[in-house]
Amino acid sequence: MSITVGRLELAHTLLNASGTWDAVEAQRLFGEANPGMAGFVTKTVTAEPRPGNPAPRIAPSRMGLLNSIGLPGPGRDAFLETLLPELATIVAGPIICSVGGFSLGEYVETVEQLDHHSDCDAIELNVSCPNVESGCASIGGDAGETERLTAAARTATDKPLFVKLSASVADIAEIAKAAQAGGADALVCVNTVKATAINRWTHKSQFGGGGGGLSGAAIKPVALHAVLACSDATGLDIIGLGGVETKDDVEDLMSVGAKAVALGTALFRDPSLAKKLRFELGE
Amino acid sequence: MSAAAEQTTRLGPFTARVVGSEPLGGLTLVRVELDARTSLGEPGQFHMLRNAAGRDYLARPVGLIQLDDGVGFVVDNASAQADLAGPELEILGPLGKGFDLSATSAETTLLVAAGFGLTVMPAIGRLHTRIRLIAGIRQSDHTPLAHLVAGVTLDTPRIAPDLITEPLEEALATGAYTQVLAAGPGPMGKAVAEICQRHGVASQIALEAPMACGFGGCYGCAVEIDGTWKRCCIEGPVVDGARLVA
Ligand SMILES: Cc1cc2nc3c(=O)[nH]c(=O)nc-3n(C[C@H](O)[C@H](O)[C@H](O)COP(=O)(O)OP(=O)(O)OC[C@H]3O[C@@H](n4cnc5c(N)ncnc54)[C@H](O)[C@@H]3O)c2cc1C
Ligand SMILES: Cc1cc2nc3c(=O)[nH]c(=O)nc-3n(C[C@H](O)[C@H](O)[C@H](O)COP(=O)(O)O)c2cc1C
Ligand code: FES
Repeated sequence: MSITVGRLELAHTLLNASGTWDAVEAQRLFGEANPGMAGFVTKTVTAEPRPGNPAPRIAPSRMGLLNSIGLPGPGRDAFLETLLPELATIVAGPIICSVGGFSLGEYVETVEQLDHHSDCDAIELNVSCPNVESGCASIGGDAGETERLTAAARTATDKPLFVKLSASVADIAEIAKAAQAGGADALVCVNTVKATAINRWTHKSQFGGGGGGLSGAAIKPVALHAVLACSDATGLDIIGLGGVETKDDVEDLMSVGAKAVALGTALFRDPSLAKKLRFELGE
Repeated sequence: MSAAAEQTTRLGPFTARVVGSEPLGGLTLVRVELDARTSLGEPGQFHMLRNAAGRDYLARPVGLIQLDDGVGFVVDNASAQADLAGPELEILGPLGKGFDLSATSAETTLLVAAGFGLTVMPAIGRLHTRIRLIAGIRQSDHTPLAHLVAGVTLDTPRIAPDLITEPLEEALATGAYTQVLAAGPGPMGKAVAEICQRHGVASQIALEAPMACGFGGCYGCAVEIDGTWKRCCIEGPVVDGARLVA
């Protein structure tokens, strides 16, 4: 039974979380680009190519993972010309392109170009990455900026437009309402939660690039609250994510308002998880 | 590097049963039985291992060793690796690119390894008996790790702070070697690659990095290759040494 999330049709409820799955490598290694997933969400695309943050980029945490990856990627031009067409040949289901930027203009230009690209089925504005110095999270931390960016992106595309929110804000419902006022079709809750790892010997950040975000089981209660608060505040469709590992986690998020659910960190230890959960959910 | 890198790995994880463990100085050799869907892979490839009942949230990269009588891996007793005691482990692999052994011979290839990098050498020693190995270890109670490398002509292991770079310089100065295969932690790989380049000798270096997934999903395993940050689990762990000194 197919579902609709923010005007995007999906064969079932499970997706990957942006930045946690490389469909090209999965195809090469496992022979399946997005096993068990109803579509594919790309890693956040930025205007220019980025090497990402210096190592170390990850640190263990008792019930999750800390990361400071810093949005490495080929940049907009190479993404549109090479990667996106390749993804379209291997991925099952629609492709949702995650867009990041360091200014409103950068976001809008990428959205305009995706609007013309036949391989892009929906657009997810990442206004919530905690690991880069400007743009992204500084926009998603402010209701006015979020509304302005969403409205500008809305003008640039008729494709389904999602806005991915951070729980590291004073009131996520306010930001959700701003995204709705700007014309978002759906919300994606939540990105990693701002967090830090300290090197026990140097007493400085464990990460090469500072910043840091927590994901995995530790943030599931945060995700539950965010989905509930955003659903109550806007009534918009929501893709829920944050620490989803089991059938119960999926059902909990759906029961507070999520229409689809994305898997992130849990895929690192079990790349077959979406397939297993689909079976358990009877989908 | 090797053709095996393109071979498909079964979508897992699957189960490896711990069938025994032996002290190896300050280390432990854990013996495992792989299920039929997980292969050992090529020398230099790795597996992600996790004890689902243990305290580690994510799996860790580990180099499996082909022993005379089975398969195992070596862990440091002092680290959280003790969590990999079993009785059952989740295992995913083989992953990453291994060594290209097409030009390897006992006469003209030199092995250099330190720390857990030593665990990849028995597989190469098995294919090319009496190949010479220069081994580096952090402390003397890790010496048994160096002696695990059966069939390899072993120099006296260098115990830190003695560096493996000195005997490497001397060996390459003889002109007897055309290729170096190296595996080891931290800055060792780049140091070996630089020495090899200075002597006009080809090198393949197995790198190490903390990894969250092992299959390209997280971008957490950044290492400097070709002068920029790349994923150790995809570009490597084994890379052409020239790419570390570019
Ligand atoms: C290809 C490959 C093959 C490998 N093969 C093996 C193998 O065969 N056997 C094996 O044992 N390992 C192997 N490793 C390494 C292994 O996966 C682990 O990364 C390694 O053992 C470190 O684990 P740890 O528990 O000591 O450290 P971790 O807990 O992962 O931390 C890394 C280091 O940081 C320190 N640390 C942890 N937390 C903090 C903090 N908050 N502040 C400051 N310092 C901190 C730890 O003491 C440790 O020294 C391999 C790695 C790779 C990439
Ligand atoms: C290693 C890593 C990289 C990530 N990269 C991105 C990214 O590029 N864009 C984005 O919007 N979110 C990114 N995220 C956040 C995830 O998409 C997700 O929102 C978050 O991890 C919470 O879900 P989880 O607990 O299931 O992982 C990343 C998360 C991790 C762990
Ligand atoms: S370990 Fe995840 S990308 Fe290399």
